[in-house]
Amino acid sequence: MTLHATALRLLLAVLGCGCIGAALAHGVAEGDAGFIEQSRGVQLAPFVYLGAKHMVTGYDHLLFLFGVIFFLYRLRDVGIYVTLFAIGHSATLLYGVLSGSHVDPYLVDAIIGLSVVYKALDNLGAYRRWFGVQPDTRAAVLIFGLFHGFGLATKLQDFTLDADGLVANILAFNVGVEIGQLLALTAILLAMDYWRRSAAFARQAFAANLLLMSAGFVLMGYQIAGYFTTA
Amino acid sequence: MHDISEQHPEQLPSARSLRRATLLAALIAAAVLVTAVLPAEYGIDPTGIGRALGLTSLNQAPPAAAPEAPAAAPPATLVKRAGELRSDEMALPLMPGQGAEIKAVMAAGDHFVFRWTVAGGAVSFDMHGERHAAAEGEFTSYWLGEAQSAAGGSFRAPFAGTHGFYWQNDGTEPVTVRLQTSGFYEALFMP
Repeated sequence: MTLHATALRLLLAVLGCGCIGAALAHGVAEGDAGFIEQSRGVQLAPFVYLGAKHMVTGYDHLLFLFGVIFFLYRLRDVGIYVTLFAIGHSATLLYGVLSGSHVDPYLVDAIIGLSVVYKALDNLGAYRRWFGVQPDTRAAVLIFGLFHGFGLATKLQDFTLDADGLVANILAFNVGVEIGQLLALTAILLAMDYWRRSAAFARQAFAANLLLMSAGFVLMGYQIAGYFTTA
Repeated sequence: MHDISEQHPEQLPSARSLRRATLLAALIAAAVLVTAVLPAEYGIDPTGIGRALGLTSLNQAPPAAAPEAPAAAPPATLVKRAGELRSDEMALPLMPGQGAEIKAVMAAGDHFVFRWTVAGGAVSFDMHGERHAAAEGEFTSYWLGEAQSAAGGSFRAPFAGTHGFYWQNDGTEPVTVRLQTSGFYEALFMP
């Protein structure tokens, strides 16, 4: 089976799930914040939806994922890297919320911007060229995954969470994050697959990673400015 | 290796072109930040381009709006009522130690404005309401006060029943309470 056919099948399967999730959560989207504050006890479907929504609309996470899979051609490799990313961000999302540890959201988001810059440079072979060594790409995805998880945790911690059913709700949010990631990833993979087949890809890969790096710098500057203006 | 060398197997980009690419990426980012992101998000606009593009207006949303509204039920600006507008005035003489009531028969949502004044002294009072056919001693107090010689306000009946005032003369001289009401209610009476 080609990657294309597999990806398409995956997309259709995930879209099916997505529709159910959206239907269950209908009417919640307008008042996410209010819902989170007022929810009492276990509310699995809404928290799954919120997690998925956060991931699908979270451009910082998506840019990093885009960088990670840029030169991954085999679905097996995509699976390994995305799993490492998921393990990383799940660990710190759960730890961050359940331990109640507070990390400055601006600093975490600035590091997430840095992760985008890092991955773009990695894609360009900059570390090999500059330092003569290739840093372990899997370790990098796992470690930056940890910071992405703290970023997810700070978004939830903006709200006062009800202690009743907290663990189940956070797990549901995390499941939603993974569903959202799968959805977004499928779309990115489909687009990448078409792009890679085109002759222009080889020429455009350098410029694309330059732009990715630029976007990472913008995210960093945005968050660092936020850190200093609200301090 | 999962990097650009898969596209260009012969060699990686040169160190020089990588440095230039990084510098270019940083310059693009700086330009976007200074002209768009910082003006729009934080109102920081060193070049004036953000203002020229109208981006700084995104940062000028009225900040006072949020704390202004109290968390408790906001008061209704408009209370619509059908029926005749009534105006009543009653005087109630009270001997030292004596207490008495004036009340209005009201449906839920009925509304009046009121003012009462005490001639010759001060009173303690309890503004309260009872449901129709309420048991003895079953009532809701709205406003309690002591040693007052005047009070006024506006009242909306939370439930159908009789709503009004109990005044008591705590002084040593006789007093007269004069009550004026105007609004939508069925009748004003002394029980």
